[in-house]
Formats: sequence, C-alpha cells, structure tokens
Amino acid sequence: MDITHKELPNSNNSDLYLSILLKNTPEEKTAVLREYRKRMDKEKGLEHSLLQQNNDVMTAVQNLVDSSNEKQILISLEIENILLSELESCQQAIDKHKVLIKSLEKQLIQKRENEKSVIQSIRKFKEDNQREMTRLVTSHQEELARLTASHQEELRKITENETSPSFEMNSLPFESEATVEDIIFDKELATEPTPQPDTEALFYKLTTWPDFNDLTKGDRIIPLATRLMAQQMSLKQMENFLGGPTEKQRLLRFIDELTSIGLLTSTNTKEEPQVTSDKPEKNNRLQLFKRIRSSLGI
Amino acid sequence: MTQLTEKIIFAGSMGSGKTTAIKSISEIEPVSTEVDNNDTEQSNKQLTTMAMDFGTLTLSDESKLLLYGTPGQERLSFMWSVISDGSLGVIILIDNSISDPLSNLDIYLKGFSDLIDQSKAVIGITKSDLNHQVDVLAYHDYLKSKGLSIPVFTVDVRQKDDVLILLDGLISLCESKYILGE
Repeated sequence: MDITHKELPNSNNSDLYLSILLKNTPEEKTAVLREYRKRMDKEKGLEHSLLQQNNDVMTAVQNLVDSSNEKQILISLEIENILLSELESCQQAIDKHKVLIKSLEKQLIQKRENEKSVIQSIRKFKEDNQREMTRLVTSHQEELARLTASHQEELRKITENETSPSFEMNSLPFESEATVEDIIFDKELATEPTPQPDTEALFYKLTTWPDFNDLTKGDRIIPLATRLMAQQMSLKQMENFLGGPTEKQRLLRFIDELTSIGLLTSTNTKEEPQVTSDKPEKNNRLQLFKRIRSSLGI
Repeated sequence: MTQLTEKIIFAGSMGSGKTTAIKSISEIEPVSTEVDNNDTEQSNKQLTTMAMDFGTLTLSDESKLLLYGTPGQERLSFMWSVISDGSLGVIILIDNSISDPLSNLDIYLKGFSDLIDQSKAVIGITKSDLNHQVDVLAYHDYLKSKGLSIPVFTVDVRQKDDVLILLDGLISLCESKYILGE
C-alpha cells in the first residue's frame, strides 16, 4: 500500500502533517509545512494551535505505524504464500521422482528375472547339447568300430585274392575325434616302408581318366595319371616318378582312391614296352615342357 | 640360344572364361578384341571376344609361350583351325551353366578334332556350381560314347591355381607323348 502520494483521510490536519513526513525532498516538505502552518494560523490561540499540532503529529505517527504494520502483515502473507507454493511444487517434484524410482526398481527387478531365466535356459541348452554330443560320439565310435571291422575283413579278402596293398584302420584314436585321416596304411606303421613282394611285382594302368577333383592333390599327380593312362607302371616306377620313397604315402593313397572307384587295374603281366622315339628333337621338347612348368610354377 | 615360341589355345563357348583364364596367367595385359555382345541367345554377358585374346609368358630361356583365346561363337569357327595350327594343345572350356553343355562340347570336339586325335586336349568345366545335373562323370560318359579319352577338370578360371591345373594336364599329355615316342 502506497501512502506517500495519498492524503490520509482525517477530520483534523494530521493527514497534512503526515504528508510532510512522507515527502522526499526538503523543498516539498517545506511547501507542505507552509500549507500546514497557514491552516494552523487560522485556528484560534497559540496554545490551542500547539495542542492541535501535537494531536496531528500523534495521529500521523499512529497512522504511519498502522499502515506499516498492515503492510508488513501483507508482505508476510505474500511471502508465506510464495513459500507454500514453492513447497507444494517441491513436494510434487519429489512425488514424481518417487514414482520414477519405483518404476525403475520394477524394471530392474524384471531385468534380473529375465537374466536369471536366460542363464537357466543356456545351462539347460548346454546340458542337452552335452548329452547329445555324448550320444553322437558313442554312436560315431560304434559305427567306426563296425566299419573298421568290416573294412579290415574286406581288405583281407582283397589282399588274399587280388594282392592289393592292404591297410587297416587305427582304432586307438577314436576317442579323440577319429576321422578319415586316421586311416593309416599298415606299411606306414613300420619305420621303413616294406611293400608286399607281390605288390611290388604288380603293374598298374589307368583305364579311364579319373575325376581329379576327388583325388589326392599334390605335385605330379596329374602327370602320373597321364602317364598311367599311356603305359603300365610298377609301384617303384610310380614312386620314382613322384619323387622317391618320401612320396610313398601319397602314392599309396592315390592308388587306393583309384582302385576303389575301379579305374586302376593291376596285373602281374608286363605289357610290351612302347617304342620310344629316337627323334633328335625329343630332348628339346622335353626341356621345353620343363621350362614351361618352371615358368608356371607347376 | 634359339628363341622358340610355342602356343597353347583356349577354346570354348561364349562366357566359359577363356579371356579370364588367359588374364590369370599372362604376364602382359592380354590383348583382347572384346566387343559388345549381340548374341544374347548364346550368352548374356555384355562383352565377347570377336577375333581372339592373346597373352604371353616368357620362359626361362627367354622363349615365349603364347596364349590364344579363340572366339566362342560357332559362326567364327573358321578361325579355330587358323589359330590352333602348330599349337602344343588346346584347353576346351565348357560353361556348365548353359542348358545343354554336352551338345556344346560336341561343337569343340569337332572343331579341334586334329588336336584331340593327337591327345593334345584337356577339358575344363566352368560354372559347375550352377548346374548339378551334369557332372564330371556325365562328361566322361559322353566322351566314352564318342570313343574319346580326354582328361576333364572342374575349374574356376578366376583362380590362377585352377588354370594351372589345366595347363599341368595339357603339358603332362604332351610330355607323355614325347617320352613314349608317339
């Protein structure tokens, strides 16, 4: 409430006096005081005039105090309202956060439950898998043992009847992932390869071109097959053709692959050697082929 | 030392990979006479060899091995004998993805019969993964029915090693002939 620019309602001159008190500048105060004295001069008698002035001062001060109290009360109320409003909004924010925290707690609990469920599923899957693996390994070992026995019997018969190179399955490594690579020719088991005498005496020849994609890969296999298509070769000749005794294992595998698909025939009878060329250009041509092989890296 | 030049021929149907095979082993950027393919009935590839492809390989004595690729179109078959004259042998590439690869093979068996009669030919089957109906065995049976004995290889001519296998086969045939004096 602004009381500086408003005259206080009063039956005496106290409001005028009060306005003196409330004026800001000395000039304004002087002007109002002059007006007040002019009014007072109109009153009768000095004593009465002083008494009246005292009353006016008292009334003005009282009014000022009253208005000040009123203003203070209003300000207090206003502050209280502001504080209440702030408190209320704080409370709302706290409630909101509480709800959020509860929601997050729920989510966390749900997440932990899900994790537990996944872990349990994985454990179960692992156990099932382990059981299945054990079953397969057992089945696999039994099948391999059966095939080994069957194969050995078959090979024994072939060796007896057709004097083919014999080999057997090594049954020991089955427990540690037995594969086809575990097939070990019985000749390899010895420190020095000791081919059967009748095998050494045989002469081999290819009857049809094989599918090279299904054969043992490696150096000189294609040339060897080409030579076998053209002429008979003994085991020793083939071994030398491939590069010597170190290639024996590869050679035996090659012979076994071709024999198993019926493309390689063997006989004890040696064919008449083919007439070799005496043409002078022969060596030059063979040198040329060597150079081509060398340049191509084959 | 006399500087000799020898040549090897790559023949086969359009799109069978002759140009690619030569590129994979030639020491020079192959000279190619590829043009836009207008014969989309035979193959849907964009470019095709019109006259021939040509690549080289220098041997250890500085002599040259020349690699020729014949045009695949049958209407250009008159060039086959010209190019293959005096060659070491022919590598016939057959695109196994076409509808009737064995009939296609027949064209080249006739076209290069001179070299085939001299056992100077090998067959490479390409794109075999796109047609499982006709396998290597079918080729062997077909050749046998024609009274022929030719080595057959399944190859991916984008792989240099596969092209080398074909060359290994062809050179082995040549070696065998000379060693046995035929």
